[in-house]
Amino acid sequence: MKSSFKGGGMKTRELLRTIQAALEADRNILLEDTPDTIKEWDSLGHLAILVSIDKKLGGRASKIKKLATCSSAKDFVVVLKKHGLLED
Amino acid sequence: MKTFSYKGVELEVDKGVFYPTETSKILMDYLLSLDGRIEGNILDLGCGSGAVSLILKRKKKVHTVYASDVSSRAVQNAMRNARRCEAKVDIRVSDGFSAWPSNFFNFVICDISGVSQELARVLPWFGGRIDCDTGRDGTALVTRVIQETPRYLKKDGKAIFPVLTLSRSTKILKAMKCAFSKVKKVASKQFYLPIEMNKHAVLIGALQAEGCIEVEQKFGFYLWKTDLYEVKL
Repeated sequence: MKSSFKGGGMKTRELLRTIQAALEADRNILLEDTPDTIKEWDSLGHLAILVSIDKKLGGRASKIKKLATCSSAKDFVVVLKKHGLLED
Repeated sequence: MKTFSYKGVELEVDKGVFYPTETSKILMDYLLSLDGRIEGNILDLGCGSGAVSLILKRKKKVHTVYASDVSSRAVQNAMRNARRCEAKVDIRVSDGFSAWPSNFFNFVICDISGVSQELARVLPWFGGRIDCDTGRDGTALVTRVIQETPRYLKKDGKAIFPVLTLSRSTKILKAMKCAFSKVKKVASKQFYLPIEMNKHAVLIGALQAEGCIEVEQKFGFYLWKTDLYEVKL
């Protein structure tokens, strides 16, 4: 279903699914998850997350440098919300 | 000395010997996936510390693994790793194919440097110690090896070449299409340059503008890509 968020962002649930798919993780991703709790979340996994999020947002995430230093799923939520690209 | 561990292969990597990169891992993953499709005499060209050779020794149908590197330091390192793993590998010092007979190999794996020489000088992977005579656009060594490879393959022989966008990849692809009848992309992966490379933005911008490399600036990193090609005579 297409996101109804103003500006064409994504919902938190969709973000978590995007992270799971990018990492090819075998379980659902929770807000509390970090590279320490998901074995597939290494540096290349992190890059896969960034590229997937950017793709979902039509290239609008690529200029956000803070995404590179996010260290949990919740961090992604905070940063994307701050830039108006995520709704609850 | 550093250690390298991947998919059950444990190696020691001496100072001054190229440390296996993500490209080496893509190669290793692909070779492991080739059940029954890799057999006979296999050459690991540009073997470094021997990571790819040791993965190959796990394939049941591989008759003999041969390996070579232009660096005698790398060859000594690879020999030591092969002994530690009790793997029988014929390892020689060789500039390209110079140490090997013609029409001999069923499969050649080329993990040789295809990175712009100017970029390699500042990339931390090379540690500033490893000779990288690849030219400004990174194609000199790879295209020479691509042109030489058909002579060393048996009839129906195959080869694998990683092509990095840290070189003029279009020129390398063109050389492959000239030398081989079949060229197929079998894997692709995106990476980022170490964050400290951002201080070389002027050099990277100049190389990009000249078409010597192809990188994307995203999330505060420079992103680049390795494509793995399997070619056939």
